Amino acid sequence: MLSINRSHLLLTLCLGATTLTLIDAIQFWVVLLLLISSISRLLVIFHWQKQPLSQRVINMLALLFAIPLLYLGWQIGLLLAMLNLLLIAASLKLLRMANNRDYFQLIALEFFLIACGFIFQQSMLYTLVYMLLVMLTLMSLAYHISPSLSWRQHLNHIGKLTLQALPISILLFLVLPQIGPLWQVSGNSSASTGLSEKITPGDIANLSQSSDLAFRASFKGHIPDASQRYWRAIVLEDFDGRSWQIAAQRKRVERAYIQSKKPFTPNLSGPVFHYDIISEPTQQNWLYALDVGVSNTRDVRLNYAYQLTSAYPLTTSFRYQLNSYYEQPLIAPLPQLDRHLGLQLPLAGNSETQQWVTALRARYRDNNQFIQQVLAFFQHGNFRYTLKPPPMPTDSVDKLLFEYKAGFCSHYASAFAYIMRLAGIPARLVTGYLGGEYLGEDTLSVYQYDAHAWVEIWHDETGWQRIDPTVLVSPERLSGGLEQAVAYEASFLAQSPFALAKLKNIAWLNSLRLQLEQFDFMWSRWVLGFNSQQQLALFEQLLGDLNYYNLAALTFAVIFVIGLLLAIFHLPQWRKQALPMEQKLYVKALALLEQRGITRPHWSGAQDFSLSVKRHVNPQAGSDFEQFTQIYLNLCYDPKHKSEKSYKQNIKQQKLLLKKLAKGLRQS
Amino acid sequence: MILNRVQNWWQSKQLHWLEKRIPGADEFSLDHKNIFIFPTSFGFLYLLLSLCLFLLGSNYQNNLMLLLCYFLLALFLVCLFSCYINIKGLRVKLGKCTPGFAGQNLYQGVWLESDTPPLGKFHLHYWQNKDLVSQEYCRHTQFKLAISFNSRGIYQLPRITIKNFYPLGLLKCWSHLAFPQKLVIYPTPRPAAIPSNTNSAHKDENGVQPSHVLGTDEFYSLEKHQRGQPMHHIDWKQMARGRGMLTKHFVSYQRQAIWLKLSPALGNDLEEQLQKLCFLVLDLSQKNQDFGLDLGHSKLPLACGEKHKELCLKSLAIYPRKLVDVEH
Repeated sequence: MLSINRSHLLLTLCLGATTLTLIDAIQFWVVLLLLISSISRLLVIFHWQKQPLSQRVINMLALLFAIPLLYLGWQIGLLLAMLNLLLIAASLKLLRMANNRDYFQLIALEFFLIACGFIFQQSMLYTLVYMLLVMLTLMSLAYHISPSLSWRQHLNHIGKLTLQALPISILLFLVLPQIGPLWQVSGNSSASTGLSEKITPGDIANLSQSSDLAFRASFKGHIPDASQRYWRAIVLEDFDGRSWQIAAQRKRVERAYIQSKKPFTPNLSGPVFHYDIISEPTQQNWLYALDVGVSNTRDVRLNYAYQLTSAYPLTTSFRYQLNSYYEQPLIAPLPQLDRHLGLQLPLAGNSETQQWVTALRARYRDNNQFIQQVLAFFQHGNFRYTLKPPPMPTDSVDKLLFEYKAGFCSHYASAFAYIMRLAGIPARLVTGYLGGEYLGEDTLSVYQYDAHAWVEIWHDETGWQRIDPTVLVSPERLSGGLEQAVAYEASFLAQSPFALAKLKNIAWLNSLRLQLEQFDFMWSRWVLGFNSQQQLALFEQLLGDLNYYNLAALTFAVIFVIGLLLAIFHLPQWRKQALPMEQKLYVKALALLEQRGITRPHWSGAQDFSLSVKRHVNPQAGSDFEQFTQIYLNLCYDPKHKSEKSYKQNIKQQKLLLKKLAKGLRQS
Repeated sequence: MILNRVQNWWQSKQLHWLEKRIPGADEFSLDHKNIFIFPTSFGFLYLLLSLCLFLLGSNYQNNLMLLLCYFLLALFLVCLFSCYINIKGLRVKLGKCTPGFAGQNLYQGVWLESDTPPLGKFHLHYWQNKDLVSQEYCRHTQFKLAISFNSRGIYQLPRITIKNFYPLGLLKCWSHLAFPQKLVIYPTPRPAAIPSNTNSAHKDENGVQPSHVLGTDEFYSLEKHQRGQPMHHIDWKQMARGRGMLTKHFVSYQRQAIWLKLSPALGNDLEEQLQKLCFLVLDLSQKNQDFGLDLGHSKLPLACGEKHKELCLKSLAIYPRKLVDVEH
């Protein structure tokens, strides 16, 4: 019976499992390659086949696979290309694992792949899975180094090592400086989630089918009412008759300001919401804030359209601090640009609307009156709020207003902003989220289905003002969220029948969902969202004042603590090995005798000494010591007592005799 | 050429340093004085991987990746201690090594002993020698290390390197141990004929040629029976023919003494002569014949048996030095 190479088996399984967790990011043919090489490796491991391919064939294969990847690399982005390349390398290594070096390289690759997994998956569940995979990979290594141990022993050792390493790694995580990104990394742009920089009415309806979390906000102090929860994200000013997107000119201006390092610092006053937001990874730069929000978190910037942006795409949970001045008017810092962009109109299309606006505007010259009329039209025009709007590919505003009279928030916002522009009132579309579900007492969770679009129109005195035409059509959207707004047509999360969010009316399921959310929130808050800001706060809490002396002291303290931990882990074993047990016990017995004034001369053998002891102590103690000495000598010199079982028994016997001896000596 | 010289210089430097650091002893107990620890190439790869993870984790501001990176580093640190503790207190002793011939593998036994069994495979080899013996520790295990020399002589056993990669192969824990064990390498036996003129060339101490000795091997003669001679040697057939009681006499050529002589003057290759003598020593010992060895500067008297054979072979191995010189 040939033995199975367990370390190779474990590594192969780990690689397979890691690939499975990354399956969305990997090209189909790469998965296929890995599958083939895993199977071939398993065949070798179970001795059904010899080492299959020669190095030359492997090199050829490598070349063969590198070419399509090189071609694909342009399309899928650097990150995904790298990941695919790593997997190809791993598959080929797996195919030909000829020596130790190949094996160790594959182990390193496996660790790297697991780390890459964290770019794509950061939930607690996946973290657990990846921890398990790391443990299994370590087990594979342990099997490689000492193949004869049982898996239980290996698990014991690896578990011990892991438990020892964990506190040290957490300490390192807490104190090692969180340096920012060293260079611009390419995000996983193909997997960007949430709002996008260009919307065609109807897009947000798709987003509304997702019950994924968008972000969570934890408030200090009071929490905004349902009607105040307009989370601004992206300002769209360029309308082509069908889609809205960020104006190119706006982008240019912002870029210029970023380059000249001129931050936008509006004068702020009035009541404030203080809160933290932890955003889920979006692979984009947009952040969310209520009204005028300013942040002192590093790499967060307020731009001239009152949008918050991060300097880097959010590839992981991102936590930032915010102060929102919710009564502060959005005074335009660049009035000319804002006006110019807010009046831009598409060249053609929607002629029916144009005529309607011209007619209405002729009757109401005053802006406020005109706006009231339009709003009244939305409110009383028999419009329907629906997640299943009919397709409106051309003249979409005409079709919405005069034909179908059914649409989603972005339809109404788009139509309203267009009408305003036709009437000469600067207007722009804002996308973001409306709503929030309580998680605990001071935290709101905002989901993708809360995505919303509304309009900001220009007032000469007060700047940009929010108007939400959707609320006029469907007041439930504001008070009860999307779920109630579309309850009549039962389209809420219609595409995900098993979403927990749909089962809110089953009490125990809902409390379970909220419990999970609570865990997840803690996870995002303290692990994923831990950043340099929290780190500094932690230091300040510990040290009071952040000066060089204190930081140096902290450094030494950390080194000391790590040293202490290592000492605690290893000192017992260190001392244990100094003497074998039987000798240690013998030394103890000698010490006992010495207390009675009986010293063993250095020239006296153990046996002779036991005879001489007999003459000095009471007979019971004397015979105990004689027996004790006999066992000691057996253990030292007689190989037949060296078997594990008999050794343990003898040591036990020896301990017993030592106790009796101590008792006997005290009596005499 | 230069590279070789540098290499040699570096090795001798190392050996010199080791001589001070770990002087020879009959038995070693591994501790901080004689254990070396250094990352393996995999260990360096692992550290490089950690660095990559740190850069990637920082760039993506991915805390989980950073945590994994710190975990791997902390694991490395913990391994540093556990690999040391694993082999600390291991006792290394030498077993016996039977002498052998030049060009032949000699197996030197090495015993490992420990009170707490150390884990992981042990890899043993001689200093600067690539042949590994890999085995896991088990109570009373002997490692058999093969070594061979191309020419006869008496050699110092090279330093024995003992390596262990427990627990994860990240770190190499090793020691170079020197044992004051000498290895005697006999010349390679080269077939040769038993010298025929041995009898005339070499006289016994008494000047008497060694003659046949009564024995049991071969029929020699018939002689008149004398009292006390064994009954079963009486040739009963002759008696039946009426020729009286005759006793068969047997002789044995065993005890015929032979002198093996080294004659360096003959101009023959010295090594070849020694090899032939070696063959003869083995051959005669096997035939259980008495023989003496005359190497010019020293003589081994006529004798036979294992002990004599070993002495003869040893003096052939160390020629031109004398046994007496070597022993002290």
